[in-house]
Parts: sequence; C-alpha cells; structure tokens
Amino acid sequence: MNQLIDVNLFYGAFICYGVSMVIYFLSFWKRTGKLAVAGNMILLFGLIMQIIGLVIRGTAAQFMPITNIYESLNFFSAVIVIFFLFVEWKFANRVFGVFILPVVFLLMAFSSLPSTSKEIVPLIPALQSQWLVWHVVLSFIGEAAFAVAFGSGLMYLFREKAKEGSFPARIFPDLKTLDTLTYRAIAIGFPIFTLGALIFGAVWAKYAWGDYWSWDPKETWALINWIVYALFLHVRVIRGWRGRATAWIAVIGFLTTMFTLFGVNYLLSGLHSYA
Amino acid sequence: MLSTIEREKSPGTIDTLSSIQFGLVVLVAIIFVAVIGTIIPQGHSLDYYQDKYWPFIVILIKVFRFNFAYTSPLFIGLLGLFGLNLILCSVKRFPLLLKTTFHPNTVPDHDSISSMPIRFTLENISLEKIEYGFLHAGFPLKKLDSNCLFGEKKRLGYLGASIVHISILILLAGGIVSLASGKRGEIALENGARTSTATLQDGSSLPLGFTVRLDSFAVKFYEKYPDRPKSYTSSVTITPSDGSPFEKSIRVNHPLIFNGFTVYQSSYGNSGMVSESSSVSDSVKVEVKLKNAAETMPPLAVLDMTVGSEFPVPGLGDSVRVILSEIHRDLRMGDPSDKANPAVKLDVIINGKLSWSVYAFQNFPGLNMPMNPNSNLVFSMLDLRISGVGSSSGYYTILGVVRDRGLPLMAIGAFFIMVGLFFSLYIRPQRIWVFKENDKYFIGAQVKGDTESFSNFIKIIIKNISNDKNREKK
Ligand code: HEM
Repeated sequence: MNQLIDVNLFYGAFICYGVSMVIYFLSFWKRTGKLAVAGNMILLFGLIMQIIGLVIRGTAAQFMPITNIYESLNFFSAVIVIFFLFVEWKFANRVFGVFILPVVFLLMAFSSLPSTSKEIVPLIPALQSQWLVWHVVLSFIGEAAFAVAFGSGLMYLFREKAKEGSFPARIFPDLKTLDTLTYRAIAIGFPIFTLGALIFGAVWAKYAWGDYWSWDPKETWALINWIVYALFLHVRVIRGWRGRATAWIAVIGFLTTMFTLFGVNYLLSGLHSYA
Repeated sequence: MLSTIEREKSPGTIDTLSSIQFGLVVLVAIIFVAVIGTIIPQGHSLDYYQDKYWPFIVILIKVFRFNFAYTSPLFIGLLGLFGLNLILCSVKRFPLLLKTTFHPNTVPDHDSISSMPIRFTLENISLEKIEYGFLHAGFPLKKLDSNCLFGEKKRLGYLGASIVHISILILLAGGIVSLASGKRGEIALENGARTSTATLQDGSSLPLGFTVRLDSFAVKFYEKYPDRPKSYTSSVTITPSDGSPFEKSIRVNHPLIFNGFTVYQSSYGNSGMVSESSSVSDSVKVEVKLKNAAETMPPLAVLDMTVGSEFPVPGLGDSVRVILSEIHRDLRMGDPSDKANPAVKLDVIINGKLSWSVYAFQNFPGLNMPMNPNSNLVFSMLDLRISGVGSSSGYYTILGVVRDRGLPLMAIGAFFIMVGLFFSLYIRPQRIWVFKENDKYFIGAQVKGDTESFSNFIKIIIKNISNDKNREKK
C-alpha cells in the first residue's frame, strides 16, 4: 500500500519536473521571465512530492531510501533540484533552468522506466551498513554540485559564443559570474565527493569485502571522475587557462560522473558479462 | 649567471618534472590506462583475449600488460611519475610557501603595491583614521612604522593545497605498503572445527597468532522473501596465543579486527561431509512453524516422517494434507560446484488431489521453494524446517582474512586530505597593506579566491573613512 503512494509521488514529481522544464524552455524561447515563475512553482511542487515520497519510502523500508537505482535517482534528482533552486534564487536568473533541468528530467525519466524495479526489497547483508548510507548520500550530494557546475559550464560555453548585445548575451549572467559559479560548485562538490565516494566507499569496502580498494570498474571510474575534477582545480592555476578550458572540464567531469553512475553498470558490465 | 640564462631558455629536467603542466599530463595518462583497465576484462591469461580481440589489440595487451592494467609496469610507472612530480613540486614550492604563509613581506614599497590585484589610494587623512576605519570593519591592521599598516586573516589557507598534496603522497605510500605487505587468504571452518592459520591464494598457509573456532554458522532469510538472505553469521571463539579466549560473531559488514588481521564473512558452503557410503536416513524431522512467528515460539508440530508419510496441515482441518514424497541427500540447484545440499520434497494434497509441491532445504531454513509459485497459499503461512537428512555437519563458513599494513597510512592520508581540502577551498587568506608616500596612502590587498568581493569590502571601508573625514570638515 505504502509502496503505491511513494511510487505515485515519484511519478508525480517526474511529471512536474518535465512540465517545468518545458516551461523554462518556452520562457527562454519567448524571452519572458513571467512564464518561468510558473515553471518555478511547478518545480517546487514536484520537489515537495518527491521529498514526501522519499520520507514515506524510507519509513516503510526502515532505511535511507538509497539502496537501489530507483531510490537513488529520486534522491539525486531532489538534491539537484534543491541546488538549482538555490542558484536560481541567488543569481536571480531564469536561464539556469534551461541547462540544469534537462539533467533532472533525464534522471527521472530513467528512474520511471518500466524496467527499473520500484519494489522495496529487504537489504542483502552487504548493504546493511551505515557506511554505505553515508557513502551514497554524500556521493550524490557531491555529484549534484557537479551537475550545477555542468549547467554553468555549458552556459559559459554558450555565452562565450554569443555576440555581444545579442539575445543570449543580454539574458545570460556574464562570463565571470558563470566561471565563478562553476568553480564554487566544484569547490563544494569536490570535498564532499572525496569524502563520500572515495573515502567512505573505501571504508565500506573494507568492512564488507575486506579490501578498501579492488579496482573494480565502478571504483576505478569514481577515481577517474575525481581526477578530472582535480584537473579542473589545477587548470585554473595555470595562467590563461581559466574560462573556456575550465568550463569544458566541468562539462566533461559531469559526463564522467554520469558514466560512472550508468555507463559502468550498463555498458562495461555488458562487456564483461560474456566473460 | 650563464646557467640562469640557459635555464630560462630551456627548462631543466627538474623544472619540467616539477611543473604543474607535467603533473596534469601524467594524470591524463593515468586516466587513460585506468579507462583501458575497465574496458578490457582483467586478470585473464593472454589466450583468453586471442579470439576476442583483433591481433593488434592482443599485441597491445601483451606489451603493456593491459590484462593486469593496475599492476602493470606502465601504470605503476605512471603512479611513480605522479608521486615524483608531486614531491618535486611540493619541495620546490616549500620555501616560498613558508615565507608567504608565515613571513610575508609586511613592509611593501610602491612597486609591490602597484602589482597587487586590489589597489586604492587615499589622501589628506591620518594613518590612525585609516587604522580605526579598518578595525571598525573587523579587519585590524598593525602599525609597523609611522608609514605602514599591515593586517591579515586566515593565513593557514595558504597551507591547504600542500596538506592535500602531502596527504596524496601518504596515500600513495599506504598503497605501496598495502601492495607489498598485504596478504589475503581464507579460512574454511565447519561447526566445531578450529584453525590458527589462513590459506593464502597460492595455497600456502599464513599463521594468525590466534586460534579461530567456529561455534556455529547461520544463514537467515527474510520471511517474506525466502530467496533473499538476511544475514550470514559465524559465531567464533578466538583464542589469542597469549591471552584469554573471547567470543565474537562475524557478520557481513561486521568483521573481526584483531592482531593486524581483518577477518570477515566471505562465503559459505557445504563440505559434502555426507559421503556416498553413509546411508540416507529414511526418517526426517519436520518442524512446522508459522511464518513471521518469533523464533522463540514453539513449532505448531514436530513430525518424524518417512517417505510416504503424511500429515494434515495444522489449523486447516483434514482437507489439506502434506506428503513427504522425496528425500534428497544432495539436491543440486544451479551451481553444480555446490556441495551436498540435503532437501526433501513435500507434496500438498488438497481434497485428495495433488495440488503442488515444495522443496525444503536442511541448510536453508525458511527457504521453502514452491514448485508452482502461483499457488503457495499454504506455504506463505507455514515455514517447514527439516533436519536429520544424512549428516547435518556438512555446513561450513568461509572467512576472508586480510592483513594490510598500509591501513594506518591510508587512514592518516584520508583524514588529512579532507583537512587540506577544507583549508585550501574554504579558508581564503586575506591581506591588506597600507603604505604612505608623499602624503598619499596606497592601499593594496591580496586574497586567494574571490578578489571582487574582497575588493568591494575594502572599497566600503575606504568610503566610510572618507565620509567620516568629510563630516569632520563640515
Ligand atoms: C589528484 C591529485 C591532486 C589533488 C587532489 C590536488 C589538490 C589540489 C587542491 C585542492 C588545490 C587547491 C586548489 C585551489 O585553491 O583552488 C591544489 C593546488 C595546487 N596543486 Fe594540486 N592536487 C593534485 C595533484 C597535483 C600535482 C600532481 C601537482 C604538480 C605539480 C599539483 C600542484 C598544485 C599547485 C601548484 C597548486 C596551486 C597551489 C596554490 O594555489 O597555492 N597538484 N591542488
């Protein structure tokens, strides 16, 4: 019974996010901020549904709802939406929605696929761990910050291409603001990701499997992901590389994050599966 | 003199090796090999790849040992270069870093201020007024002499990046120690058995310095999901070579950490203790319990059954009866390498008609596997536990044993990398200089990070100072 309620709330959130995204696009297209206010309200409504869904599900399962891809994606989307709302409020600019909401929409679309199991199943012994909870929660919070950096990095690249005085140039935040936001987001995401994904992941692996590191593809990709963001921090130190180069790395970094999340499971394991 | 000129023309090897550009190139190369290691299945012999990949790729795998990518000379070499780069870069920057952090040039001249990212000038005012203005805004400046003020905040932020880099070196060192000293093996124990050694992967045995005795091993399954394991628990008694014994239950995620070893629940199996020669007992004890009932609740019925004997399901009257139809000393489902797995087959008769059958496994209490999952009405309520099929001592646990001397270094590195990240990314050192020349005050400031907001902060202070001055005039 419970399960139906939370699954429906998640579907509801998915629909809200989709509608909101379309409205943000329309508002961008029509060059009017008024529409975006509606988009914002619908998004908020979706977020509330999703949070209630997560609470119901967590209560029913007696565990933080992050134990399978369905729950994780809902948690992840909710954190991205919260970060997005903060950025939008802070910078009082409606364009961010056009670049960040598609990410949320795709994540939710994936979680809503019929092939994604939505059942609450009790945890196998390896998953019964508080380290795992912190590992997943912090990884996703860090990755949500990376999603923001992805959005602002993309905006930087678009803004840079736009001619001075043209439509995008007028409504986008300026390049310096975007560059700073990208940096700030990664400066927040990087330590959280380091602690959650790498350190707590290693601690959990030590407790559950005896070894803190075993170079399995998921671990390896998380490390690669981490190195990409370390590159981001350093490329900024090199004179003249700030700006376009760092924006590109922020974009590539998030693509790496997504590959770590999905690609490893669906592509690499596919490669390994015949072995 | 000549050598410095030469060095400017073409940077020396050390300069190259210690440069951040070189570090970035090495990191990209590390990423590259790491990616290859996730694409090419790891750990097989070359033959394995022969018929799966083009000959060219097989040659690459052979040359670069991509089948063991993460221990290949190429990868270890790259990690070595990375470590070297980090060491050189840290050492090279160290003197300057100490100076910047602890002995900054507090008495600047005109030139150094004019090269600062934040600059202001003030006229017709006393140094004391300026000093007071900054103090009032929460940024106290020290008077160095009659012409100079200097103040700073959060200078430890300068050390953050270095703490991160040193921590990474500690982690690398920890990794090397793990790799060099690490031992991993297994202990397989049956109920009541004991050992003081673990078997390593190469078959040799590793003394533990303590004895492990398995008191019992239990697999629990979820009541509602009989194929979902809930816990694996090995209850053991540990006897140190020089100490008194203690009991410990080792579960997944709850290893025993003792004497430099981590002993964790790894696997389990059946030893096949039921040998072919031992006769199958033709009577089986069946405990009938209610599902979801507390462990302590007594069973509804305890029946001694032989093949063909039947009983009415308690509580359902006489119309639903269960017949024991088969006794298996070793029923293999799935993995043929599983050892002996005693089980019985029970047929359910409703109104005299065979409705369906269920398997009950001696070693998997709670796992009653209906042959027809659509009609498991009765067995969704009942839990059938059997015992007495053959020998019941065939059950054994497999404990993993890891000795890892690198662990303390990894823990230290992990801790300090977080400290360093915090300092480098969140503690932004701020410095302000005030310098008087020809009745004019030159104000210069530096900050790591957001120059603009620090500049605005100072701008407001200066504005306030000037406003005060004007007010006084009026
Ligand atoms: C994956 C490994 C590495 C990590 C995680 C790392 C981490 C960091 C961090 C967090 C910062 C501060 C960045 C900022 O203030 O925005 C930094 C700065 C720096 N790193 Fe690294 N680093 C790594 C490897 C390297 C390597 C190989 C070099 C090679 C020379 C290097 C040289 C530097 C330099 C020169 C700075 C600037 C220092 C400063 O601004 O005071 N790093 N590093």
